[in-house]
Amino acid sequence: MFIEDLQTYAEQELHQMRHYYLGVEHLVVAMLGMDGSILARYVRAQGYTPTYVTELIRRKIGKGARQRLWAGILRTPRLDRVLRAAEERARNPQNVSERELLDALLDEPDSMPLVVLQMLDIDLDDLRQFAHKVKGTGALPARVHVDSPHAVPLNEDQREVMNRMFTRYQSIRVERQLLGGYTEASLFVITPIHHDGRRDASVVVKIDHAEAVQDEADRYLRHVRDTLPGSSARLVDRPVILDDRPIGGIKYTLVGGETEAPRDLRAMLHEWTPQQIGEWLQNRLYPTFGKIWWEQRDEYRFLVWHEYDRLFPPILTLEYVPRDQVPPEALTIRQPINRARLLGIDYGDIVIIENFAVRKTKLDSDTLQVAVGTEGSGALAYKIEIRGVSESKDTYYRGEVIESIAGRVWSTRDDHLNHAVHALAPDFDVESEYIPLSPDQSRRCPNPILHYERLMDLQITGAMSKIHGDMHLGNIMIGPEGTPFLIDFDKVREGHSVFDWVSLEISILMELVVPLGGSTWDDARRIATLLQTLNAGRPLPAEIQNDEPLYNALRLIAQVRQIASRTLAAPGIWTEYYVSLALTSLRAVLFRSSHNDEQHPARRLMLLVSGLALNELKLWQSSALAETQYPDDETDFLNISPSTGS
Amino acid sequence: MGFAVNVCVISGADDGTMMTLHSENSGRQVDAGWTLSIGRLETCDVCLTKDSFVSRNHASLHWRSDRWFLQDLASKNGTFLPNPSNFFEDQRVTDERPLEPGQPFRIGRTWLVIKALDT
Repeated sequence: MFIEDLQTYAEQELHQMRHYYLGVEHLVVAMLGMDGSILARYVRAQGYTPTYVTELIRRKIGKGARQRLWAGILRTPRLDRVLRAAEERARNPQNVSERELLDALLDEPDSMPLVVLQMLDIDLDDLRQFAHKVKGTGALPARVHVDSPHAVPLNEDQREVMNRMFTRYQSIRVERQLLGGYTEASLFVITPIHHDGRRDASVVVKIDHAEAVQDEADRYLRHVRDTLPGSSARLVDRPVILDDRPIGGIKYTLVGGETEAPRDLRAMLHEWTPQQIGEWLQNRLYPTFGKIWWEQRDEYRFLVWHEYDRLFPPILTLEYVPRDQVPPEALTIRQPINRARLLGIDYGDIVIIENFAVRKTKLDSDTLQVAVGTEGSGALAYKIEIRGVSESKDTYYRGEVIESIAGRVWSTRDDHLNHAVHALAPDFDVESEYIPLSPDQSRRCPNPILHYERLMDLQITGAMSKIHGDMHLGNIMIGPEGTPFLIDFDKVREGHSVFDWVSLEISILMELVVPLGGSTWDDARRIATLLQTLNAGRPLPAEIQNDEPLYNALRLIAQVRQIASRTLAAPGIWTEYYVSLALTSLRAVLFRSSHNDEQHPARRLMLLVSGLALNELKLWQSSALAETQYPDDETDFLNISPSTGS
Repeated sequence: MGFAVNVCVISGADDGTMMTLHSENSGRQVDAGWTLSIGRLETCDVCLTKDSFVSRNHASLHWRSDRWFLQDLASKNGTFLPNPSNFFEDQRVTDERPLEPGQPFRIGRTWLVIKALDT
């Protein structure tokens, strides 16, 4: 019987949440957890997985304390009211159906689970109507014909998402796949075609993990929707989430682009000259988004790790250790973080983490990712991954703040970086203070993997504004008449303004400059030397002017810098840019592209770019600006002597 | 002049409880304002005994110049308002904040909302 099954589920939920009462929130979570329930089907139709909604309800209600204040399980006054009302509606009060229960629940719209549904833009009246309309399982939607003239391959998941997304169309044409984010997402340009043969404007479809898709839609609602220029990529429909797999998709409609399929800037690398690209960035993209994003900037004095720690892999990976096996001398990590102690932690140490928030729960790999702060709120840093958490027999939900959990160190961030650099077959000592910039080693730059942590500890002045957060060549789209669009909003936030332009510089270096420059370490050093000339504002040497493609590509880098200069907090003060460049390029050393595993040449250059940026900082930090702002021991962070921590 | 208000509990073990408070028998009247106490103690006007995250004297509500203000009283587990830019991340209140009409607020783990009195 429905109501009995539901109570069983609801009681499981209250025990997991350490609640000693039964309330409507447990009933709602239980309904969401029952396969094929009206509520679960309805939220799916609205583009959310039941799990996603459940986690938000848990997050809003919070876990209870271990200590009990009474014996047994209380019922909340609201639950009593709802159950009474549902029984009154039912023909047989012993056998309340989900519809009757939902009706009674919806009469209490200010209860927390319903407030959460409303925050997700779910219309409660529509839900009630749905509950009265549905009978059994609905008919399966008709299949949409997929036409792929350019033989773009679609896997089964992708086909299924498209099928659900374009259900009212007769067919879709897959124009092309957009390559190359560094995530597992895939992007396609799709032209939908009606039953009468009419074509609609092309859209961009992004397919990713269900959780990522729902987060992106949520982020779009909160950060992006109201700040877009008139012509822009928009999420018009709710995401589509598959029933049986954690896969979903969203559809970007490029408002203003009606005639031809849009191209991404990466594709334009082969059609436009670097000059044309530079002019388009300067005259079209920047004016369109600059006013509402990068130019709405405030001066921002921040600790570098607040903005940049999020780019890197977890600072620690731990193997879960039950509380009763934790030795008394184990180190506790809690806020405020003592970075020197944190960085001194080694393989095999046991650490206790207190009051970190859950960022991700990866149940398939039995892994929990926690961090200080959360994605939406200012700082997000100190990601720590804990494996083997199922042993703890506790339920964790996203956003939960875990009072205390312990683990044994399995690997550190430095391990990740060292592995990544070793994989590039370095012809120098990876552990030395400096890395060579010329074949004879006469010129060199600081070794980023030894110094990036000290950079993270700096406090710098920059500008803060709304930023895209992942502005690489594949996320910039060009519509008819050169209309600029941005897509992929899952990292939009208030953040360091120059970061978007640093990201674009890196994307251009990796995808345009490196293929022109050769693939060995010496080739990378040659390009790095040219970039150093650019950093210094000196003209490129005469001989390079004969290598026209490379010369033009480097001119484009200079042009991107020119645009970036408009987003700096103080004109002509590049410290914030080089800090961003040093860390963003070091992150790129870790990239494994989804469409090209062998990006070694580009990743080699990235290590050198990071080292060069550190070099530049040394110059800047010794300038008058730095002296007025930083105490000596902080500014002089690259005055290298064997570091003993601070 | 007298005041009256409904305070509704919208989560936790007391979920669905509505407390109707009148200035004749609850709170303190100061000048043209009215102050209500919230906490675990039975002497509090809004008494929350079923949430172990609530301090004895946790917070107070002030009515003045035609609006409500919420003030935390250095509670151990905090008083919270929903973050306007992200409903799912609550902001801890350490001082006094105005409450928008119908805006929920959290005392320990218990969400409350002020409702106009039905007349």
